[in-house]
Amino acid sequence: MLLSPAERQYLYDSLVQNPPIRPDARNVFQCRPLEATTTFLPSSNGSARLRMTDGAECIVSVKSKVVKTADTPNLLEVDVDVQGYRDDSNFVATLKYNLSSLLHKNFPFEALKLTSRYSYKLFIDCIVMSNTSYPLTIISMAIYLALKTTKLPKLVSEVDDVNVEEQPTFSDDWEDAKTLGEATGSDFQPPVFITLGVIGSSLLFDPSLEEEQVLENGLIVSFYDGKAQTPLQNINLALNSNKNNYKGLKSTHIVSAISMVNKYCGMIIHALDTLIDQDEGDGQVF
Amino acid sequence: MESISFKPEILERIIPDVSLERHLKIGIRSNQRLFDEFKNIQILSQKSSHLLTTSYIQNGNTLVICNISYGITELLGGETPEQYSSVYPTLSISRGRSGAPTDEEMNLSQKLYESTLHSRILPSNSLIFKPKVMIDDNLEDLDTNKQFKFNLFVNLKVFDRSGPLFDVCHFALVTSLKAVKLPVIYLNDSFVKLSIDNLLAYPDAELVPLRLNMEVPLVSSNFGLYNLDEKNLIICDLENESEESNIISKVNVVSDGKAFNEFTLINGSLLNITRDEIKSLLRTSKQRAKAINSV
Amino acid sequence: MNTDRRRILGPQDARIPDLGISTNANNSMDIDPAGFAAEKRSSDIQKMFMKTNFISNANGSSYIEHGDTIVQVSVFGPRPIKSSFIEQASFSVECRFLPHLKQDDALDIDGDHHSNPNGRTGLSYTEHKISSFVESCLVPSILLDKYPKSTIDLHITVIEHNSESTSLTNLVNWITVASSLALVDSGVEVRDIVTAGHIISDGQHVILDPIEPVSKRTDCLVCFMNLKNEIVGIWVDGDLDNLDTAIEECNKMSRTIRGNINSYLLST
Repeated sequence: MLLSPAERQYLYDSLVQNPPIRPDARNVFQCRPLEATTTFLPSSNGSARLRMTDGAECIVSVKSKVVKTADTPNLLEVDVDVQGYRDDSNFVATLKYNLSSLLHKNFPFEALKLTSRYSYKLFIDCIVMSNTSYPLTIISMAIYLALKTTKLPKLVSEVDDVNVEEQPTFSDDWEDAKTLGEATGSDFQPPVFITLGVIGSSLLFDPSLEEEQVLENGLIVSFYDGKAQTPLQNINLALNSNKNNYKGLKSTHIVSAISMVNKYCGMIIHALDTLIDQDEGDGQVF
Repeated sequence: MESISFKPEILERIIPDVSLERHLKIGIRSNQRLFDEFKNIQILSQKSSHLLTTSYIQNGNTLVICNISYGITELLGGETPEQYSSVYPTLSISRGRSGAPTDEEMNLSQKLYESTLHSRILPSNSLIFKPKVMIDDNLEDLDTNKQFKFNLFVNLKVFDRSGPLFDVCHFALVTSLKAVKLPVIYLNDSFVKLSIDNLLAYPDAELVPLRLNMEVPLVSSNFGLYNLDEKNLIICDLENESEESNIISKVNVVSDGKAFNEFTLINGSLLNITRDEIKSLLRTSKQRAKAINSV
Repeated sequence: MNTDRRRILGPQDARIPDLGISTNANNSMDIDPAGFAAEKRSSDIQKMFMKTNFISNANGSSYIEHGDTIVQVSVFGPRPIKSSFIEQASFSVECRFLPHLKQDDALDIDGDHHSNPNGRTGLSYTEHKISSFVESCLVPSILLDKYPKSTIDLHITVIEHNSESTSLTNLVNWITVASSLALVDSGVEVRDIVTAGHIISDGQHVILDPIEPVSKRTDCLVCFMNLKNEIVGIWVDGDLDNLDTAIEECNKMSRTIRGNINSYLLST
């Protein structure tokens, strides 16, 4: 919904307050409530469906394939499809570029290694069924849930095939399949993107559609391994509305964005993990 | 009623036909050139490496960047190629629009393809090769019946178009072809399979200039014929909207300075063109080709 | 796979070979770990060549050569729009590489650079990304509300780029500078000229404007409007430690470039 000039001014004035007054009474570091289901696509290795209160909905599926490591430059492939946008539009292409770059820079690729010759390759397909605000955060959280619950079949053939060429074989018992966390032997937490809106001297986590229209700039920061990471970029979040308010950033904005992400993102990740635990064993979507 | 007067450049945009006629009547052209004067054409810079040949060509204000790269295909058994080959040109004209290629871009690409093929300057033999193989840091001949072929991809990028582009694009293409040097193609190892996926360009050997059936670059020249007071005016090297859209009897000649390779005549306004006029066109284009090639 | 059937594009299965590895030691492109220690040129920006206003059928144009990079930018506009009324100009950026150029494929999402380059009509992911980054950098500088009912289109052509020696961020740095120059040349009203700085750092040493491949921990590109020291674009890869120093260094570089642009514009 596009705001009228008066509504925009009212919203702007309340958001530049210190602390900002957000229309849905959220704190600056709070994301919008969301609900999610995981592991519901029977033919995928991992899947997640995430819905937000504003009607945004995203489905992510993770599939795997066994490939020869030497022939495959890239063991992760992300594809993004947003309803209402062409695949070759700048909007979709930029989302895909950013998500690929996030996962490439922050992923434990050793977890995909099967033998000295073979690896798993993961195909991450994201479909945004509907969105109002910029969908990067919701896609990235759905990818988090899907990757976290991804299970890959257990290898039963030899790990060392340097000298003897052998096709890898897998256990046919699905119960033996391992999550990526079990494969690395650590607590695997996939990377996420946090979208921050910049207005006045404040930063807002996960801005809504109305907030996006009055923002002065936007930042995307990655979070992985317990702290803020790169890619870190600024981005114009309000794509379809007027760019009246669009302004430059101060370096203090960037520094405080990093410290806010460091401080609060752990909680977001914890909430997502809790969601998976509660969801376990259900498997029903509707 | 008060009459409105326009500046010449505005008049040219709103009523190009009247503007053209008025100019020609007083014996001048809106681009300040003489009737028999061509725009200056020159190679600004040219370089070639293992994978690419690049030329910058300037023609009046128009700048053309011509890049020739190549891809390798395998000649299937029993396939005998035609005696002469062509190049695969794509052309884009910078005019602030994007999307699918325009008619002009497609037509010019097609014309360049055909012109190269029919002027028989590129023998297929010069593109066909047998790869070598690296054994103990030495390149050796490979014992195989398989043959491979270079396919030349030409990309032309045109900035600041001001008139018909065939002449300048043709010039960019042939002078770049003259500069193309091809590398030795080899297999890194005698154990890998001989297929196009495993072939490499050898970086350390001298590059071999592409053998062409063309001693000096061909030069294309264009002329317009316009009927003024029952007489045919010959106008060289059309430029600007008014000339391009209103002079529809056109002649295009490709020559190397000695002989003629191509002659095209489109008599759009059904003029009565005489033998002497054609002779003079041919003479002019020969002289121009000679002059350009002697620089 | 190309779907263009309107032109003769050449065989689709033709493959562009890679260059073999040279046995001459001196022209190797190896990563130079000594680059930082030697501090060959920690504080200078590489030479560049710039030129504006050489394309008469665009409203503004610029051309920059820097190392192995050549970028050309044309500005078309303000042009009238046909559709319904808009209060302020809409601004769009389109960046294209010449088709034979190998684009930065660190993410490997742009397909195979060995295949026939002819006939690609859409933009690659890298081109889209650059377009939207440059757009978001320049929007704050342009007085869009001076031009209702219009569009301003910026067309960037990357004429040369060596993705093996020069990083994508360094390329974007010079694209941004060239775009600002073209905007100034077009006479579109701007608040300030956007200039950029690009550094890499290993945690201790900083190299401005790196155009040789060196190992790095942080790669930071920041675009500024220097008048009020506003950051209009930031693109960081690698480590986030000492980010404020990195931004500071980028600012220095952008000021140097700004100084050069100012004296160029005054002398033309």
